[in-house]
Amino acid sequence: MDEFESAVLVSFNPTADAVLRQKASEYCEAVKVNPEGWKFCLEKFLNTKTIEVRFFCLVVVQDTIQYRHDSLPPVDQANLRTALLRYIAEHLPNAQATETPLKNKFAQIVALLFKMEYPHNWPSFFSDILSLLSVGTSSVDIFLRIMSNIDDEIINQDMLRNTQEVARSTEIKDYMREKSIVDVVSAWYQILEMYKTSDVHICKSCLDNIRRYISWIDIGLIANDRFFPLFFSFLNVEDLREYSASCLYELVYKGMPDPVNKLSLVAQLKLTSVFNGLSMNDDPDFLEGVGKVINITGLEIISATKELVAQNNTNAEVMNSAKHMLEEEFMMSLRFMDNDDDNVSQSVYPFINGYLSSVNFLGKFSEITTADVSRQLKSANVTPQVIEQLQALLPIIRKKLTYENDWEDKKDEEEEKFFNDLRKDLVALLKLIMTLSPQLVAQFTLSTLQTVITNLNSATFPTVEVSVYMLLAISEGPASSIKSLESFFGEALVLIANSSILSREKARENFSLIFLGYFDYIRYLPDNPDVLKNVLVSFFDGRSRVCYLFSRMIRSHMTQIQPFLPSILAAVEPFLSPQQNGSITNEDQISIFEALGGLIGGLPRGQQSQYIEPIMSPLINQLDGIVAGKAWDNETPDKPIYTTTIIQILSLAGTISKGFANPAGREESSVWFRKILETSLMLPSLLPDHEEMRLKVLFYMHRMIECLGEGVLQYVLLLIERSLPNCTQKAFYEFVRLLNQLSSRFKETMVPVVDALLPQLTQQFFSYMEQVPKIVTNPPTEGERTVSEFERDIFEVRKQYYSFVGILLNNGMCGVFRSAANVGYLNSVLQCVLQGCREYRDIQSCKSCIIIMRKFAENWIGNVPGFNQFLYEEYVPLIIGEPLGPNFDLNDAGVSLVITEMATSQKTLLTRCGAEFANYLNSIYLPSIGCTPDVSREYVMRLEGSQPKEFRTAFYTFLQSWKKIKKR
Amino acid sequence: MAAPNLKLVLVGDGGTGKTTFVKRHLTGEFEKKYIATLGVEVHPLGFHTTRGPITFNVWDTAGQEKFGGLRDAYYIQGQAAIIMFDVTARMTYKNVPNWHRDLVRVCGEVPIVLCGNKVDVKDRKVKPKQITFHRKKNLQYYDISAKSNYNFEKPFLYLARKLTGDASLELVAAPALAPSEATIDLNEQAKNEAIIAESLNAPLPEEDDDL
Repeated sequence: MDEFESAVLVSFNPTADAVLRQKASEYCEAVKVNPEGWKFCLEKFLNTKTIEVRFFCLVVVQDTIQYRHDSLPPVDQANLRTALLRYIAEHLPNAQATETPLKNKFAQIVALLFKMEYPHNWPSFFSDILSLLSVGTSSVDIFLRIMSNIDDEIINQDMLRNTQEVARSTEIKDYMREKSIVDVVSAWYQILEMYKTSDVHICKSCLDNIRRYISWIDIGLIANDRFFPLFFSFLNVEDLREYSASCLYELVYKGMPDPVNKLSLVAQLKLTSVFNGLSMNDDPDFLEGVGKVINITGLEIISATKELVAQNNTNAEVMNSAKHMLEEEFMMSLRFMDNDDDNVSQSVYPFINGYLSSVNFLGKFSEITTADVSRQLKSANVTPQVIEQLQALLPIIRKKLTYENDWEDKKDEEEEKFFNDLRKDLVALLKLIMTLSPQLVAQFTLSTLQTVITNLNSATFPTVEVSVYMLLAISEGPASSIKSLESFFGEALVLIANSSILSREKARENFSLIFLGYFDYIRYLPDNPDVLKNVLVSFFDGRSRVCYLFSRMIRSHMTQIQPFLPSILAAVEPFLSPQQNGSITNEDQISIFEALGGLIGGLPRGQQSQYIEPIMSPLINQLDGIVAGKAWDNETPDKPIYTTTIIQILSLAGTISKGFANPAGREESSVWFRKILETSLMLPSLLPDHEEMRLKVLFYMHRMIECLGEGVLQYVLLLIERSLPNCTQKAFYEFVRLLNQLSSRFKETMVPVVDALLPQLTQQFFSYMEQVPKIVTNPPTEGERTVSEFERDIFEVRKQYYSFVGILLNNGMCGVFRSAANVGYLNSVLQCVLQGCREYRDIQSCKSCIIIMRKFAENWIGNVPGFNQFLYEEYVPLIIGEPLGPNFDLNDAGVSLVITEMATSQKTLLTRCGAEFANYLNSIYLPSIGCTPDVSREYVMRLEGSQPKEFRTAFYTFLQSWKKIKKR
Repeated sequence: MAAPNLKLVLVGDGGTGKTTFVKRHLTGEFEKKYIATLGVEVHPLGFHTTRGPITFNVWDTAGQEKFGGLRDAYYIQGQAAIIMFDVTARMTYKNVPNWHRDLVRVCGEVPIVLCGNKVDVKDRKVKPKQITFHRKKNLQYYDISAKSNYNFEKPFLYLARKLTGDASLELVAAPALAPSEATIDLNEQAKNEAIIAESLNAPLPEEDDDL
């Protein structure tokens, strides 16, 4: 072994000494970059035995061709060509069993040299190579490898290539098509003929060559009576049949400009009769390959037919023959689809899908005898023959939709995903059939279901599951098809309701999903109380999601469902009383009450009582009983049975009341709600420390505003007066929210209530504000500092308070702030709002406060002596001077809204105070902040002379230039 | 019988995470052999299977320059291969056919697993539906996340099954892996799905009665 060889071997050895390895690889690199290195390596390649060394030699030659070819002198280029050819002619036949990697590498090198030199440098490439075929099997083998490497290295479109490479590929293909491909194809033919019985390996390689080249060579070279019999006969050779099928695939798939030619190619192949004798128990890999051929054939026929129509070239003979071929293809593809192996089955889905999508289209040309296509276009074409095809297809779809019997044992994530995807494809087919004949699908599904139910005791889970799954699938079918199936859905629903399918299978996790689909069918309920009861009872057996959906569905199908109210009530009867550890959760119960409220509240006057009374009476009695006996005295903190029950009752009553918000419909039932309201008002003082209770009472009060209207006002005062003292911020927040809601709804009617509450409310508010004085000037901003929950609550309270003040002003209740009871607090209220005007980090509040002060101005200037002076001193600085400061960031998007409000307020003050305000600005305020007389005059002129929008722009410019000057 | 030592070639564009991937296996990392100047590392990764221990000598061709090293000479006598691409970089997937071609040329029809790495990254560019190459060539495909160990053992399990011809082979002990450095996107996804399902289950929020 010489130095070079050991260097290569050491480089390959991961366990060799590091220093040695370093040296070795330096040696190898040196050989590689040496301009004469390739010659040495070519020589070495012939004279050594180790595969690593020989392979490395070829890598060096490869690098030379790929990266240094152009710098080789012509004589060297010629020598290289000669050396490679000589290797094929002289060495290869005598070398015993050259390793495959070396043969491939060699073929790659030839292909790379071809890429560099063909055709200009090496025009005789193909004749050179082809002339060597006579040498023997070794040269035939290397020829086939070279051809496949030419495809890999130059042509194959799967490989990523840059623009120059693509151009080169096109150039080479063009030249080959013109000069050499005929010879290559004829070599392939001779090779196949010569080796068809003697060398499977060569035949494989040759078929693979053909498969690779079909897409871009003249189809006539392959689609002829020489090759077809070969392909067909190879279909019977186990080792070659998949290769043969791949060639057929490429043949059929070949892009052809004229659809007539494509159709005649398919007709010529007669693949349906070729594959007719195939056993469906054969090797799935092979069947899948054939399935793909069937599939692509069908798709190609469809697209050729469509193209003919687009070209207006609907020759009756051609069209009929296409249609005939399609029918054969379809029946053939059903055999594949029916295969137990999912990959085999799936191989034909695209065609089946395409066929079903084209039935109408193709039917139009079934019996064309005239050129009048447009007349034919008008009728749908689900002929009895198509119906027969569909009838054959449906059981196959069902079979493939069905889980395997042992699916639960071998739960595999990947397989489950695969199966779910498969089902999606199958459901797509089912829906396509529905567009052709919804009745057919419905009947099939119904009879499937009937069979399952009749034999329920012996039926396996997969059979039961698939019967309901199909029902679910078609319920999601195209709306136009579903329309005609209402009675079918009703029938299916009755079948299910009267069977024990659901109770039998409910434990299975997959069933819950299907169960949801079941819900959609309630629209199609038959008018039969017994059946209905069965259906509804089956809904409410502890499936929480079902309760929620029930409620949602009722809301969307109110009028259809209303007639069934008595049955529904009977079904839900066990779930109507407050439950402790009951059979359903509170949320479920709330869903049920919400649904019932909607149904009963929608009934005409005079019909509500009979239904609402049995629901509400027990609740009222229970509540009254607990409150009267102060039953909570007997409960322990870890088992608060009675307080929990009260809270539930309020939740349920409040929820059901949602159905009675419509003024026309609420009168009749209001008596029940009022009773609960009256009792509930006692709770805050009876259980003063029970926060949750207090909030729940408030919740109920909110509900009652919708439900009782103005009638609720008398209770509000009572409630707040009782609960305001020492309430938490949270409760306070809720009170203010309630008052806001009431004030915007009832407006002036609220004056007595607000007037009575304001002192207490304001006091309470300030007592919170005092606790966290910082909050008011420094509201929490995200990321600035951590904000405690307490602070956040206070902050929310303040916001709510601002909107309270704003709502009073907006709804004509400005007077309450100056009533005898409240005037003492007025200054504090105003200061609080003024404070808010400079809170730029809470832009919303800032904006509201500026508006609130403007509303005060609109209401009180001229009516309240001295108020204008107050505004000049306190408000004006906030809307002109303050934004000039560093905290007001003009680049902040939110600030723009505030600027608009500031400008509007200045216009308002001008309108209300007239020249007095203008003078104040000009001679006192503006100079006081440092404006020159010119600037002041200009400013006032703008304010007086421009429209609000213009002034807003002027004001913005003023702020901007001021800040610029300040920066300097 | 001695534990089989199998040569596994790990290929793919630079930056797809090949080295990170093999380094997740801690014992392999401990025993790794590094051929510094040639830029190939061989990591013996051991797995305990129902058919006894199996060691994959993973040839990580990381850092291979176009002109340097032995390149596809390293594939010689490879018995299995993993082609890796990065699901956040489309180009690395487009190069997969080239890697595959080079592998097959030298190794012939050995079992090959295609791995889409970095599925933990939120901004996935190569979507599962776009990954079709493995179907054309009959390879196995796995989404993986080397950083989070997601599906780490899947490629090895598949290759072990193929190479032993025992489709029911299982790992009897999980390999020791470096701790996860990323949250698994798929877990997250499952969580998200659970949240979505949950929200369907929940009652609608109270309508806002305010104002």
